[in-house]
This record gives sequence, structure tokens and C-alpha cells, in this order.
Amino acid sequence: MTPVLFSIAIFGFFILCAFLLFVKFYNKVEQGKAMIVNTLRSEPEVIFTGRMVYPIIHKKEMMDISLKTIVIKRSGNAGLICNDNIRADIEVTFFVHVNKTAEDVLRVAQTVGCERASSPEILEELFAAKFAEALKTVGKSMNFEDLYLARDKFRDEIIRQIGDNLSGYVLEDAAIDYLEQTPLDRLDPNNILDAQGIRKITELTAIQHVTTNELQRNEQMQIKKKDVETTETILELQRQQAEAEARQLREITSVQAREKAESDRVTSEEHAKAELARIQAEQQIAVQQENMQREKEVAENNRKRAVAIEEEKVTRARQLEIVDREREVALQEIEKEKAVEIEKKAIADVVRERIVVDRTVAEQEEAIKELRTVAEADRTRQAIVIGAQAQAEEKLVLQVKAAEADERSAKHKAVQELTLADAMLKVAEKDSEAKKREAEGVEAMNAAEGLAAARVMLVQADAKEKDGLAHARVKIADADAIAKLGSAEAESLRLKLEAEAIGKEKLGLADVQVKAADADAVIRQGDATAHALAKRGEAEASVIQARFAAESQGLNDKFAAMQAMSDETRAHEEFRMRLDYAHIETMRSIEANVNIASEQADVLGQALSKAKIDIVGGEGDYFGKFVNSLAIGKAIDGTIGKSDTLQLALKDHLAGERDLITDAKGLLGSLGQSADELQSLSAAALLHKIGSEGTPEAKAALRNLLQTLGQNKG
Amino acid sequence: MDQFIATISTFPTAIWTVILGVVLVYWLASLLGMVDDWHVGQHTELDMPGHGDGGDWAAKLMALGLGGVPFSLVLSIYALSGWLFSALVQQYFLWLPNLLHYLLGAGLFLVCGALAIPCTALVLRPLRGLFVTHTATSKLALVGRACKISTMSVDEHFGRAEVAANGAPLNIRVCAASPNTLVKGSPAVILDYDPALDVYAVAALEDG
Repeated sequence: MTPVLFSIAIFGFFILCAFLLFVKFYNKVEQGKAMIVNTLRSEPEVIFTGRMVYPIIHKKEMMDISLKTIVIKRSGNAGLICNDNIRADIEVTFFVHVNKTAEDVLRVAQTVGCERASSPEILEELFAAKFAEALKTVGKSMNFEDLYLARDKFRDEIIRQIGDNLSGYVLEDAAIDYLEQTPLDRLDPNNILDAQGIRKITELTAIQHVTTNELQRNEQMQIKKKDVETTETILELQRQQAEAEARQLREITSVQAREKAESDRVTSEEHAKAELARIQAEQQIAVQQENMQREKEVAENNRKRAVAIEEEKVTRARQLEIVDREREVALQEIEKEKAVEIEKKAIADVVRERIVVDRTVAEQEEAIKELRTVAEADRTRQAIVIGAQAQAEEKLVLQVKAAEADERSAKHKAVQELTLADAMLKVAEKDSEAKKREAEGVEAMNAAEGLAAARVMLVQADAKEKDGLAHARVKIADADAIAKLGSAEAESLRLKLEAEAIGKEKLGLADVQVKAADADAVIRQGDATAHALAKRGEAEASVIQARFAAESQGLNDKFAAMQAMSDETRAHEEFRMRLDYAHIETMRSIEANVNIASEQADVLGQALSKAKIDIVGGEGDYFGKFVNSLAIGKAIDGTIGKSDTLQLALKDHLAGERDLITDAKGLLGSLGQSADELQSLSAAALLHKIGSEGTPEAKAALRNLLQTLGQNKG
Repeated sequence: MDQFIATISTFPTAIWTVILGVVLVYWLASLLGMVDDWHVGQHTELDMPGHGDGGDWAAKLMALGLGGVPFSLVLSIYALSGWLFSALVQQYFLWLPNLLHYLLGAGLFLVCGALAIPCTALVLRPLRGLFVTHTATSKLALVGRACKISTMSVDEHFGRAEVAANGAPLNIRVCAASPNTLVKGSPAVILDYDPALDVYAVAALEDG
């Protein structure tokens, strides 16, 4: 690997060196120059662009090959002699350059040398003689005027003369810069060529001079003539001008005079008008001044009048103000006195109020005393009243209870007998039906006989019943009349006593008496009502007795009829009744079960709806119970579906028209409300109210209430 | 490193090493000379065979693809590549016994010399552009080109014409057979060149 690294380093070094060589030794050539490099070959190289030039082994030379000018001047007695022997002062510029070929450049380099070829002075030195000679030759071959005209010929001739003896240079062009005939005073008359030239010049110039002079005289003559004509014309024009001016002046003056007269006339007229206007103006001014004077006086008088009026007003106002002030003062004084009086009155009021307060205090004290006595009397009265009421109620309750007990026993007996009679009736009916079916005509006839007898009996019983009822009603009416009489008496007595009490109201004890009287009246009233009730109960009892007697009579007959039934039919009937009872019993038990089950199902349903069901118990308990509950639910549905009663009861709920829960709520709420109302009534107040000012209906209600209380106790 | 020194100082590579050393010394010297701005005669310069000089030598170099650049550079690259191949291969011969070593070494030297030539040509190809020179055209090369007569007339002895070059036209001396149609500005074609008289024979160029 090391040789590779080394060789890379060395190669880099070589490349660097080669670049340095290039930078250092590459020579570039400017335009218009040629570089001649002497290499180790036989011929040097000519380069116009650029080349590597190695030192020591190469030699580099630069040469200017651009266009050079060489100027040849010949003037004075050294002027150029033309073909017609006229000398010319001439200045010719020759343009030379080197062709961009290797041979030409080398030729110039070898014959002239690079350094020398670049300087125009040396070139002039080199070629001046050649060019001058060529110029002479060419000049002698051409006329003076031809030099001007035949430029191309002149150049060609020069080139032809010079040929290619310019040692590598090429004559590009020859231009005559300055060309003039040499002045005569510079010519040498003794010189052959010059003498010929002078003669020719003189000939030519004399002719020219004569012609020139003639031309000049002609010119002068024509000028003079023109001048005279011009002067004449000018004078004529001046005359015309003067005439025109005079005429103009005359016309101007006439016009001016006319205009002046016109203007004067107009001026005077205007003056008259102005004067007139002025006079009128003055007149108007005077009139206006008079008017003004008058107006001024009038205004002055007005002013005076106004001033006097104003003064009068002022005095009046002042006096009024004085009067006002006095009145105000007097009023204020009166006001002051009045205020004082008011204050005094206030003081008196205060005193009076204090007295009133004292009086009220005394009154209040008296009232307190009175109240105490009244309250005490009240208390005693109430005690007495309550005692009397209690006694009356006790009596009443005892009587009522006794009556009720009697009534109930009678009722129960009646029911017992009625049911017995019913049963027997049914037996008899069945029996009769059986008999009908067994034996048609005879039994029917027998039954008809029996039935007719029974109907007769019934009719008789009905009549008796009605009779009893009428009797009872008469007795009830009597009792009512007695009660009303009693109450009326009590009312009249109470009113009388009250009127008396009102008369003696200022006396505290009167009230007590009145109240005592009241109590008496109440007691009497209670007695009367109790009496009436007892009477009525008796009447009712007798009515019921009569009815039941009738019924029992009917039943007796029925049982007598039933006696006629055979043993078999009775047994059958008994069996049927037993069957009915058993059926009812089973139905009831089923219903109870159904209720229990439905409640259980509700409970379970609620529990299930609320509970997260965790299925536990590996022995199928849960599932079994669940299925059981489902079965119960089914049973309930079945029951409700099959039972007509339940269908009727729950018809609206099943149809979705009513909600069972809201119904239940309503029921409970109504119960609660009624309870509240009951609570809000105070028993004592109620009693007092009804006792003092109760209508008969209210009293009846109170009775009922007391009865229920008694029942609850019992 | 020791092995490397041993390699370049034994038989076949040692020859290349010497050549390379000489070349390096030449370049160092030329560098010093460059710094010195080449005052002529201040120090000696290796005398090299001609740079692309006309003849057999240059032709052979061109044929091998080694022309167009200074010969010093050709030799340098050649020496460097030969030395590199030789050194690279010779590392594996150092253990050989003497006779066999010399035999193989001689073979290696020749093979490296042969192999270095195309390698050098390959390396020099991009450098060749730096050393191109355009020399001036010669007069002979104008034959066959068109020109424009610049004198009034042309005859056997007199006449000048301009040949259009890229820049300034070349002003040449021309001649033509005497009765001709050549006037100033007429186009002509150069037929021949006489280097002795430095004159071109022209003929009128037919229209077209």
C-alpha cells in the first residue's frame, strides 16, 4: 500500500508542477501583435494566439503587426513636379502593415527586426526614400489636376512603383492628405522645369485674371445699376408714404374734431342731467331732512312721554312694593302669633293627650278587672255547662246504647231467621221443582195451593207491615213536634235572657246569669232531644218488630211448606248446599293464594328490577325460584283472565285507561287529607260551637260522632 | 516501511527509483528556477529532446498517445507509473532466492515498462488540452481560396488582391494572364503560389 500512497503523492506533485508551469510559461498574445518563438527546430514558430514558452530552450519575440502610417511631405522648391511641370506642395500618407502569415511575419522579423518593426520612426526612415522616389515618378507621370481626380490611378501607380520591395510589409493604401500648387514666389525662375511651370501658370492665370476682371467690372456695373434703381424705387415709396401719412393725418383730425364735438355735446347733456339729478337729490335731501327733524321731535316727545310713564310706573311700583312690604310684615306678624297659638295648642294637646292616656290607663285597668270577673264567671258557667252536657250526654248515650243493643239483637235474630227461612225457601223451591218434574199436574196444583196460601199470607204480612209503619211514622212525627216545641221554648227563653243581658251588659255579672240561663236552655234542649230520640227509637223498634213478625210468619209458613218435602230431596238439597259451601271455600282459598302469590310476585319483580342478578347457588335454587315466580305470574294473569269479577274491577286498568298506582295514591291522599281535617278540628271548640249556635243538622252530626266514639270504646 | 524501502532499493524497482529520482530533481530545480523568475543562465536546465519536434521521434510519441504535452511531463508520468507497478508487484518476490529473483525481476522490469506506456497515455489525455498551440497560417495554404481584386487592373506583372481572413484581410500580390476581366472589386480564385516571387496566380471567378 505504501508505494501507492507514495505514487499518489508524487503524481500530485507532478500535476501541481505542470499547472505551475502552465501558469508561468503560457504566453498570450494581444491582437495586433505576433509572437515569434525560436524553438529547437530550424524555423521559428509564429503565433497570434498563445503558446507555452519554456525558458532557456525557447526564445520569444513580440512584434507589432498593426497598421502603420508613413507621411511624406514635399513643399516649396522641393515640391512635386507634375507632368505639366507645375510644382505641387503635397503631403501623402502611406498605410503599411504585415500580413498575418508566417512567411510575412518572419520576413519582417528577419529583415527589419521585431523591435524596429514596432516603431513608426524607424519604418519612416526605412521607407521614406522609397516612397519619395515612387511619388516623384508617379507625380511626373500625371498632370497636376489629375492628382485631384484620379486618386485610384495615383495609388495603383505608387503601388506599381514601390512593388514588393517593402521587405515583408504590404502597402495597404496611399492617401493624398494635402495638395496645393506651390506659390509663384517659391518657384525658381531659372529652373527649367520651374520656368515652364511659371509660364504655364502665368498663361493660365492671365486668362483667368482678364476673365476675372471682366466679371468684376460687370459685377460693379450691375451693382451700381441696381443701386440707382433701388434708390428711385425707395424715393417713390417715400413719397407715397408721405402722402399716405398726410391723408391719414387729415382724416384723423377731422374724425377727432367730429368726435370732440360729439363728445362735448354729450358732455354738456350729461352735465345738465347731472345737475338736474343733483338738484333733485338736494331737494329730496332737504325734504328728508325736514322729515327727519319732524320724526326726531316726535320721537323726542315720545321718549319724554315714555320716560314720564316709566317714572310714574316706577313710583307706583315703589309704592306698591311699600304696601306689599307692610302687608307682608303684618301678615308675618299675624303668622307669628298664629304659630305661637298653635304651639300653645300643641302644648294643650299634649296635656290633653296625657290626660287621655291616663284615662285609657284607668280604663284599661278597669277593663282588666272586668275581664277578670267576666272570665271567672265564664269559667264557672262553662264548668256548669260542661257538667250539664256531660250528664245529658251520659244519659243520652246510655239510652242510645240500650236502644242500639236492642236493635242489633233484633237484627241478628231477624237475619238468622231470614237466612233459615231463605234456606228453607230454597229447599222448598227445589222440592217443588223436583216435584214438578216428577209429577206434573197434581204436584203443580198442590204447589199452587201452597203457593197461593203463602201469597195470601205474604199479602197479609205486607198489610200488617204497612200498618205498623204508618203507626211508627205518626209516633216519629209526634216526637219531632215535641222536640221542636222544646227547642223553640228554649230559644225564646234564651233570647229573652240575652236581651236582658244586653240591657245589663255594663254590669259584668249579668253575663254570667245569661250564660247560666243559656246553659239551662241547652240542658233543656238536650233533654228534649234525648226524649225525642228515645221516642223515635221506640217507634223504629216497633216497626222493625212488626216487620220481622211478618217475616217470621212468612217463614213459618215456608217452613211448614218445607216440612212437606221428602227426606231425599232434603238430603239432596243439603248436599247441594254443602257443595256450594265447599265451592265457595275453595274459591276463597284460591283467591287468598292468588293475592299472596301476586304480592310475592310484586316483591320479587321489584327486587329483580333493582337488584343486580348474580346467578349463584349451584343447585338450581335460583333458577327454580325464578321459574316458580314466573309460574305465579302466569297464575295471576290466568286468574285475572278467567275471573269475571276481577275483569270488571280491573277493566279500565287492563285497557290502559287508568293507572293502578295513581289510583292507589289518590286513595291514600284522600285518606290523609281527611285525617288532617279531622286533626285540625278542636273537639272542645266544636262542641262549644254546636252547643251555642248549632243547626239541627249539625247537632245530628255531633250525635253520630259521639255514637261512633262510643262504638270505638265498646 | 522497512519493507517498502527494501522493495524500492532492490533490483528491478531500483532502476525505476533512480529514473523517478532524476525526474523529481528536475522538477524541483525547475520550481526553484520559477521562483527565481528564470534569469537566463542562472542555473542549468536539463536538455530535453525536442517537444514534438518534427521527425521520427515525435511521430512515434504521437503514435503511442504521448504527444501534445512537454516531454518532461511524459517522462515523469512514465517513470512514476513504471515505478508504481514494479514496486507493487515486487513486494511479493522479496523472499525468493537470488537467481530466480533476478530472472523474475528482469521480466517484471520489461512488463512494467510496457504497461506504463498506455497508463501514461491515459493520464496525459486530459492534460493535452493545456499545451495546444495554434501556429500562424502559411502562404501556401491560401491556394484555392477566393480573393477580391483591389487594384484597377491585373496583368502578368502587377496586381493586388485581398483575401478575407477572420480579422484583417491579407493583402497579397497577384498576377493573371493579360487580357482578363479583372477590375477593382471583382472576385477571383487563387490558383497557384510562386514562393520565389511571392506572387499568386489568380483567375476571374465565374459568377456563382
